[in-house]
Amino acid sequence: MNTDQCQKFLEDPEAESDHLSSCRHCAALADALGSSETGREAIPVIETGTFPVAPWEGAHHRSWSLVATAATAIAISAALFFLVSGISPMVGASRILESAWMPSSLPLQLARHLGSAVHGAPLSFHVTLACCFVVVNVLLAFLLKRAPKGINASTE
Amino acid sequence: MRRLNRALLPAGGLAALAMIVLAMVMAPAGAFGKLMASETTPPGRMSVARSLHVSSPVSGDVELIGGSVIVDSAVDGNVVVFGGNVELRPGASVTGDVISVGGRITAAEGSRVGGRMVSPGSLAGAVELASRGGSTLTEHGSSRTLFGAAVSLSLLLIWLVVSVLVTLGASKDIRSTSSELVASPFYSFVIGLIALTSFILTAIVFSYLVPYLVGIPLLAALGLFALLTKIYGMVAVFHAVGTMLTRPRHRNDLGRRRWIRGDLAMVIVGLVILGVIRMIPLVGAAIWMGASIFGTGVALATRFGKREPWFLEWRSTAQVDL
Repeated sequence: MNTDQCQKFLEDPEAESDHLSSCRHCAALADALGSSETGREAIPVIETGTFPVAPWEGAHHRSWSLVATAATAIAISAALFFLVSGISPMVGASRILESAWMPSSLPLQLARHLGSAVHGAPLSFHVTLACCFVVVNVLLAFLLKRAPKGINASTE
Repeated sequence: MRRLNRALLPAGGLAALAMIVLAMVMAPAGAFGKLMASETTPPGRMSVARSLHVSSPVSGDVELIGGSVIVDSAVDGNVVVFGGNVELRPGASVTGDVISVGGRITAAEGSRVGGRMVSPGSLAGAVELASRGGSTLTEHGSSRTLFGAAVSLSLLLIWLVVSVLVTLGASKDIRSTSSELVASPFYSFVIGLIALTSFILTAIVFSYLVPYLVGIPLLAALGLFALLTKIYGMVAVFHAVGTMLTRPRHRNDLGRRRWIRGDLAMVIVGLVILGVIRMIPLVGAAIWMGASIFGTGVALATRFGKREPWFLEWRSTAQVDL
C-alpha cells in the first residue's frame, strides 16, 4: 500500500483511476463504495411522467372551450326539446321566466302567511317544534365541531 | 372490524335520528289526519301538517304548513301552502293569489284564480305553471314530458353560468371542499340532512317574530344563507363528481389533456353528468336532491372550504400553555 498514491486517489478518484490496478486496498474500497463505472450504470432512470398528479397540479387551467361547448350543447338541446313539444324556444324561455319570476312583494307576503299560520297552530305543534329545534341544532353544532378529514387541496 | 363498527354506529344513529326528525317536520299530508269535506269551514282556514279539503265557501285566506289543499269551492282570499300541493278542481274560485312553496299547483278547467299563481322552489311546479296555456301541452302527456326536459335543460344552463362564476371566484375553496366530500361522504350527508332540517325549523321559529320588526330580516338572512350554502355545495359536488370520473391519473396524462383538466373543467363535467341524470324521471330528481344534501353538508363541514372551526374550543386559563 502506497500512502501518497492512495491519498491522491482518495482526493480525486476519477483522475487517479489507474491507481486501482496497482493497489488492491483502494480497489477493494472502491468496489465496496460502489463507485466503479458498472455501479454507476446500475442506477435506474426515474420516469416522472408516471407519478400521480397532486390535486392542485394543473388546477388553474381554465378550459373555456369546454365551457363554451357544454353551454352551446345544453342550449341547443333545450331549444330542440321546446320545438319538439310544440313551443318556440323564445316562448318557452319567456314562460319559464314568467313562472319563475318572484315579485318583490311575494317573500314578504309568504313571511306574513307563515307567521299567521304558526301563531294559529295548536299547542302540541309549538311544543314539538321547540323540542325538535333544540335537538336538531344541538346535534348540528356537535357535528360541526369535527375537523375536516380531506386533504388541504388548496396547497400550491 | 371493531373499529369500523365503532365508527359507523354513532354516525348511523345520527343519520337515523336526522331522518326521523326530518320526517316529523316534513310529514306528508294526511299523516296527522284529514279534514273531511263535510266539516264546516269557518272564515279563513289555517292548518299545520294535515291536508285540507275546501268544499264550502271560505271568507279569508287558506294557509297550510306541511299539507296539501284541494279546493272545490270559492275562497275569498289567498291560498298559501308551504311544503304541499294545491289542486283547484272545476268550480273552484280563488279571488286572491295561489302560492305553493316547494310544491305544485294543478288547476282544472273551469277553476278561476283572480290573482297570481306562483310556485317557487319546485321544478315540477315551474313546469306545471309554465305549461299552462299551451293547448298541445295540456292535451298530450308526452309533449308535457318533453317540455319538462326543456325546462330542466334551461335551468341547467343557469346552473352552468352560476357554477362558472363560483369556480372563478373561489376555485381553491371549491377544490378543498370537493376533497372533503370524497374523503368523508357519509359524514357530509348526515350534516346536510341535519342542516336542512335545521333550516326548516329555524325558518318556522323565526316566523313567530314576523309581527315584530326583527322577524322578516331574520327570515331573509336565513333564506339567503341557505341559498348560498346550497349553490356553493352543489358546485363542490359537481367538482367532486368530475374529479372522481375524469381526473388525470398521472402527469403524462395531465400533459396530454387540452380540455378536461383544471377545476373549471371538473365542475363542468360533473354538472353535465348530474344534469343528464336529473332528467331521468323520479330517480333523477331524487339523485339531484341527494346531491343538494351532500353539497349543503360538505359546505358547512368545511366552512365553505376555509377548513376553519365554526366554534372556538373553550379552554380554562389553567390549560393554556404560556
